[in-house]
Amino acid sequence: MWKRNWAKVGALVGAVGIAALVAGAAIGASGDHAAKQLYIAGVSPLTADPSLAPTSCGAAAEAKKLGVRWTWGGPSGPDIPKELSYLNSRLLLKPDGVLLLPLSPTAFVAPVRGLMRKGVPVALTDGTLQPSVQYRSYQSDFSSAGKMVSSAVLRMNGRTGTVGVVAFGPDKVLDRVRWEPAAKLLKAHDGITVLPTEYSNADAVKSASIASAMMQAHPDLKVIIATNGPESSGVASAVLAAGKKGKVKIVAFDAPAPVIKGIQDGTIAFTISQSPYVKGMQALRALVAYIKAHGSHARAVKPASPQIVPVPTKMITKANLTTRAARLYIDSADCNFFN
Amino acid sequence: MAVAEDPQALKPVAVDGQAEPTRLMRVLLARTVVWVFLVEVILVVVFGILSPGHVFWTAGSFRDLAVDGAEVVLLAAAVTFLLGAGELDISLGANIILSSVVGGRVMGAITATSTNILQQGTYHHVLLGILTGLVVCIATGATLGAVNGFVVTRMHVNSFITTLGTLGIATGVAQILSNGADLASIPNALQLQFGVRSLAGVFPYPALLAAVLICGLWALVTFTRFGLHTLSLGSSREAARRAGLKVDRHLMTLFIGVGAFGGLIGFIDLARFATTNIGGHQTDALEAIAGAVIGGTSMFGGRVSIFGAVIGAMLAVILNAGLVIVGVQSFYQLIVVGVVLILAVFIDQRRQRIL
Repeated sequence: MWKRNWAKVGALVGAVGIAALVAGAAIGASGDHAAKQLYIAGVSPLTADPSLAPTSCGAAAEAKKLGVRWTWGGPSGPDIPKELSYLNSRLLLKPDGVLLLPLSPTAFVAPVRGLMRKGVPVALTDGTLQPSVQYRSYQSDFSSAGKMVSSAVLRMNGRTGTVGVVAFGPDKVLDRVRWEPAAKLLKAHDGITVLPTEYSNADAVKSASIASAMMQAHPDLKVIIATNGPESSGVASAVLAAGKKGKVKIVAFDAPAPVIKGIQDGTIAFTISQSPYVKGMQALRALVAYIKAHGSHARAVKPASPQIVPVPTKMITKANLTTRAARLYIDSADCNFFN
Repeated sequence: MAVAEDPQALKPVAVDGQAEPTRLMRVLLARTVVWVFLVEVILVVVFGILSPGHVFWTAGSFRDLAVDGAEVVLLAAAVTFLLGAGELDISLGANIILSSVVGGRVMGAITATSTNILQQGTYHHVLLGILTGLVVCIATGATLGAVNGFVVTRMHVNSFITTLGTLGIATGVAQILSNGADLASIPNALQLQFGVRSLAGVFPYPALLAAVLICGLWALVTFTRFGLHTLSLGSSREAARRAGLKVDRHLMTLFIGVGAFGGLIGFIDLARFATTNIGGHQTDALEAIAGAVIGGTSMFGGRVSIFGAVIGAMLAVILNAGLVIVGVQSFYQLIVVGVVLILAVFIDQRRQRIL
């Protein structure tokens, strides 16, 4: 008797299972059918880093507006093989376009070239590829930053005095574009002396030591340009320790939380910041526009002209810190911050 | 043979009719630390002459040297204990970063009123947060030290390899906890009331703290059984074991203690910069070990000099500050620092051979 009941139960469970499978397949099929929705995959290292996460926030906001499916992921650390592996696993889902922050200028050339040949456009935000095989690249434009910094410095120090620079390292090209144009413009003024650039390798302790020595050697030092977050923190500590807050003004670059805090309490005069949010937004918009114009997975994608799109930087001061425009240039891993 | 600094040796004692000053001079010149100190005096004189307006000789300049050197000299003095016992810890830089990240997060969780970046600057329970942060920093450093000690004493892995491994682990954990970004939720009061403040405007608090602790370490190695046991481990581990010393337990204590000092330096970092310094401290452990060795501590154990380590570690600090002040370009600074460090050790070794 119990055997017959168990057989009935088994048959019932089997029938339900088959029904579920059929229903699932039907739903899946209808989903596929309806999935004319485009899919853009974002791949980045350090996905939770507040200086990179806004890229996803900007892309996600734009994707929502355009009705596009958007995903974002990658390794938590600066690991090239892991980022490559993550990109490859994402490609199994056949995205219509890829937004990439490549950790290496060379390691990603082959996969990007392969994607472009298959008709999948790849846009970069930050980072470069050599050769430049991507569809388009969105890079922060520091060319205007030099003028912004030099004008502000001249205004702050009354066109006289000494200016110091504490930078990341002499071999860092992306760091050099931050301070070199401003230093050149400032050197052209008779009353201004620009000291030889000192390097601290993103170490706040070394930055503090350099700034202290600069202030000792040059009592007329009025401005120190610090090209990254750790440099700003170190210089700020030295200025505070010397009791020269307000007398020696600090110009920073980028807008991580410690720099914003320095602007709020008046230790840092202003910062020149780039906007990963805007870069993410523009890159996603360009990818969608291309796919809509040329079709998905159609013919091979050719690099756009112009291939590199400069994204303006912005000066953030205490006065404009809380405006919506400035917010888009502040580092935050919380996307609600940008709303 | 285990040798610590012996204050008695500095006493001028007349022997065989020799004049006291001659005897004193001979005792002094036999010490590495004295020679390194002389090199530093020469550097201070030269930098003073070359610096504009002789600013290198001002009180402000010495105050800057004190605060800039506080962390590395404290680290050098602490790592001297491990060197004395014949061990190494090259994970100390990562220890400082990890401790400051963990301590900073706890401090921020207690004191920060908002996670919104634009609403920073308002804090509550500041004292509680700072004290808890201090304890957590030290505890984190001590824990990493305990891990090092466990692997070295229980798993019998060489301390160089062990701490090379934990260097990577600690750096990775710090990156995960901070998402690779420096924390900013540190109360300003910590920086303004301690990190950048000086007693009477001359003695920076971080340097004073370092000075007190260094004196304590010197007393520990010179006057206590703990110090003697540490040196005996470095002189002959087997002899120490046969003499009944609990070698593993002592080594474990040393690793934990040195780790705790790393944690304390992490806290000083938070105090000085009101943020973490994730990108920094890459060469701290090597600078501290180099400072200790330059100051007369043996890499192979059995011979230490706490004040020698301090003076040895200050050599690079003086050079770095002096070269910026006299306007030597960055590229040349690295060369000059390297040359002077090698010369200082070479002169000392040559002197020892002659003696």
